[in-house]
Amino acid sequence: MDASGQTIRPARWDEPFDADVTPERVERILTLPPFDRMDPQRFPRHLPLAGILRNDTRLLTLKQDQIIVREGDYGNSAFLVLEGTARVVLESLPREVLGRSEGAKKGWFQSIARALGTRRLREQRPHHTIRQREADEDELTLLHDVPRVLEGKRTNDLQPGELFGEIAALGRSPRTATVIAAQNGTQMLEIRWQGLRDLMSYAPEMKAHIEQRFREHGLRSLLRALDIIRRLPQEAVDEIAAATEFERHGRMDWYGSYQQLLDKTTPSERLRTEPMILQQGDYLNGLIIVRGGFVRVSRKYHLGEQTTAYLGKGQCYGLKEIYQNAQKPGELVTSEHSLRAVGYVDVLVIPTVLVERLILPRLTAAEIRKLEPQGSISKTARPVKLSEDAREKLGPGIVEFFMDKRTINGGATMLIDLDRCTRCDDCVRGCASAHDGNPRFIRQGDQLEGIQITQACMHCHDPICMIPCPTGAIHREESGEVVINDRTCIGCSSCANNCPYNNIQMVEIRDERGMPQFPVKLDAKQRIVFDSQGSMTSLSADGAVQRATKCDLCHDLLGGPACVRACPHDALIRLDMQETDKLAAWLNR
Amino acid sequence: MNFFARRRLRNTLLCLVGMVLAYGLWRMLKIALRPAAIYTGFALLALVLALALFNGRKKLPFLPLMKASSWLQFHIYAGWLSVFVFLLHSGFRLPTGMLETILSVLFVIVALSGVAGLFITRLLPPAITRSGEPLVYERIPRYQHALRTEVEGIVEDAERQSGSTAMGNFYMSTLAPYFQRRSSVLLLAGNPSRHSQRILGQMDEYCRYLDEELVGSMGRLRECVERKRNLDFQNAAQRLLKLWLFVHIPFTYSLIIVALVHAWVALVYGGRL
Repeated sequence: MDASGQTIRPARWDEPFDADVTPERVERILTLPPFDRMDPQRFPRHLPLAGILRNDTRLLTLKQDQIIVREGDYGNSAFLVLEGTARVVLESLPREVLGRSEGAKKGWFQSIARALGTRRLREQRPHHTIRQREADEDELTLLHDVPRVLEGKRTNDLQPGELFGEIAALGRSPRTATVIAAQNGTQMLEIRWQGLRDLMSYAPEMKAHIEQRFREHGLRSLLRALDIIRRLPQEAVDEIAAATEFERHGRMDWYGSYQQLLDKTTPSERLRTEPMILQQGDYLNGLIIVRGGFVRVSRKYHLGEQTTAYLGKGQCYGLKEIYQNAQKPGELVTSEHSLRAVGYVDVLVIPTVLVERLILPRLTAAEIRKLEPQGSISKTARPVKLSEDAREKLGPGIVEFFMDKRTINGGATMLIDLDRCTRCDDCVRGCASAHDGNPRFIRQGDQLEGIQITQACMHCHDPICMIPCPTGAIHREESGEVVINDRTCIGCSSCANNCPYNNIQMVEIRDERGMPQFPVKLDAKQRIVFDSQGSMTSLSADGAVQRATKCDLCHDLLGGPACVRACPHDALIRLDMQETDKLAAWLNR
Repeated sequence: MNFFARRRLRNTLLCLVGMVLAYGLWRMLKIALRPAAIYTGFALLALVLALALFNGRKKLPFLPLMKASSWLQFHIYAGWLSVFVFLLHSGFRLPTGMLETILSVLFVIVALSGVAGLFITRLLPPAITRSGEPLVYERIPRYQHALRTEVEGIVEDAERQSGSTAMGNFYMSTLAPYFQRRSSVLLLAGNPSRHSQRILGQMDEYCRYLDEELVGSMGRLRECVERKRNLDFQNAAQRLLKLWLFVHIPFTYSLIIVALVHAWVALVYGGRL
């Protein structure tokens, strides 16, 4: 590196979340709860508490009735009330009241203009030094006619020092409630997910506080998402929430080792490596609800075990056995299946005694019919993932195949029916035309029985790629797609390295002449150093600047993914792998 | 009845209704002594233009112009309808005159290539899927080169270890031409495995004259022959899946140009322009 210049290779905190969070403001924030109780000495030197607050937070000053978070949004931030009051609306508001739209879709003329302006060179971008922040990102909106809208709705006011939104931010799940500013001038500190993660790592009181808050708030929402609990009176839900046990099985970093397991072990060996949550033949101590991760449901079959289904977030297991035991106390009904943690699994267990006393008496006749001995896996959860019927339609082996490949994580997995695919590559061309000439997937992948799991981003339910991103460039859109903001991606490869499916590609970006872009030299005043020809002085020894790229499900295009629309032979589909009825229907067309 | 069967039935019925309607209108025009050929000609031209739009749609995947699969369904059944309208337009007789003959030949080529394409695109993909290891068409020459190098390596190793030229001789006389040859689409006419079966038969015969060690090498070569069979089949099948369009599309453009000339001539010499 030249002594007079310095590289501007992108790095974390190059671009703070909010430039207005000055060191003076950070000093003030440090005097407020909960930060005043944190010990700065616990934080490592490269991640100081003040640095996190300086770079991973932003200050919001809100008008009365301004929406802070909307129910159903995916968010990567938590909010701390600094001044004023925030009002949580505990019941759902109509979509139109929240100003929901389909998102910023490109219109016809914009789509045509984009196609005409398609760059001839691959991965061409304006020089990375002149990119600008999007000024209108995350624009907040007002909730209009509040007295009428909130009439009859239950609300809860949050006072200074109270935190909200952390469960959705950390669980990469949708917001469960809408929150608005209750007063003019309400001040919020928005802490982005990366900062929140680091605060939890080095401030144990913060970790304990967030876990306690989950029991108080998030747990009730999660329980209420179940049909069988939604109809219970508040006091019953409170009693269940107080008695619910948290269990965690498996390892959070499953994605690092599963490919090796796949390559080096037999199916039965792999099954043994998955931690047992419940063994076939065991008595059920409670109703098991999956809070996060995936559960393999299997049963003994000859000398091995056959996977019969999988469960994801919000699904429960064991209601049938508990019901049958309650009906015939003399006959012990044990679990018909084994449950195993695929990767890591968070489960909630509602004790059997509470299920018998509070839940069973309020089941509907239709629900009871499903719990009779001939029924299958409890279908009381929303949505039912995979019934025995669906499994029969999917065909032997295909469930195990999807489990082995962890395709069950996919929210929009690309599947190609190779018996209909003519290998014409219209899907690839369609994708390229929607992305400035750069295809965002590779038409290859694992296959079984003529079905290919294509190498395209699956927009996972558990988007592991988002975990290490230092800038939040990879995020989930309101409509659920996991996308990368090219303007804030620093090309660190963290997401690509973390993606267990190798569906994120790092590309060297190019300038208008097709040349790779390199970090450039800056002078002492942070100005770009130009050479005698007027070109920026590249620091080529540092390697070309890269960006992470992947399928964005054409979230900004009218009509949905170009790959699906471009396939003339109905060979390609994007499927939520939890919607197994759709999957079975597609496989049996 | 599955989705595809239901769709096929629905579209076939719609197509038949279209044909009945077209025939009825044509009969009515005939009875009314109206110039039926003019009407059927314009209907046919409109159909051909609408069918040709499918290729344009494929160039605009970023626009919400319905799924390409819906367009293809329209293309297939409107294509059958256009054949029927063509028969009505020609009055169920052979063409006379240079322009009409050229136009008719072009139409027949486009229609037949379309029907052939339909069958190719429905029959070959399952065969490719079950042929063996999936291969990307553009990379097949590279796979072929790598396979040839591997075979030569096996033969050289066998020669070196045995001190005999038996494998080298067999390679030069039998295997080299097989592994060096690039398959053509003609492979698909008849049994696509015929070449590999012949080679495997010759290998079995030749094993009589080899020792145990060389028979082992022959076993590895058998695997290579199997991979070459897959390469050849996929090369031929995937090429055919692309080639038929090089007939269908250019002739469609030619058909449109000649049809426009024909329409202009018919109107001018019919006293309507």
